[in-house]
Amino acid sequence: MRTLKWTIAIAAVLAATGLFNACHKNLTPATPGAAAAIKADDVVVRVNELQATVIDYCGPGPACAPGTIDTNLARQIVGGLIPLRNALVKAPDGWKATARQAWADVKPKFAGVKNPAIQSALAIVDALIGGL
Amino acid sequence: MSPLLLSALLNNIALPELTRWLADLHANGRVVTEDEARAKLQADADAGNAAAAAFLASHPAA
Repeated sequence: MRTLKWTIAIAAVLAATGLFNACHKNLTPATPGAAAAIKADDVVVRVNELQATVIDYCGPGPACAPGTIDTNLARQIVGGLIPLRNALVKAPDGWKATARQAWADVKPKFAGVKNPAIQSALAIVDALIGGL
Repeated sequence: MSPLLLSALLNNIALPELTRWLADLHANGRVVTEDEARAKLQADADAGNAAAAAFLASHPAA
């Protein structure tokens, strides 16, 4: 129980740090198009980190390690992040609605995944897409 | 805390946050053109999609 509390506390601090970093970019966009691309890239970077966390958690193939995540679920999550990235790359041409829809399609698949590292990365992506 | 979980937190969250923070310090105030921003966006998306494709290939549907 004590370990679980520490794990949740660490995950919460990391997620908060991530949101702080995501909201405090020091780059100056030259145009509104550059600003949109920078914003979309911030999300893509976080989506990549979320994906890497899922892949790490699953472990080497051909199947995810026992007691981690179901292989088919991991495939659905990783596969579902591809259209999200492809929507974000289209910034600023109608990207926000498409990205939100792609995220809405894949987010429910995380419902049964309780790994704190994944939940922390998920919270950051969710907040960024919610703020688009 | 399990070593695997600690490793996942450090490698996938803590280290990227630290790296990003240092990069932000270095890039403070730099003006980014639309071409630069789009190129980085495309490169990051391509890298993510390549990692996804590799994972899907190495983890066939059960």
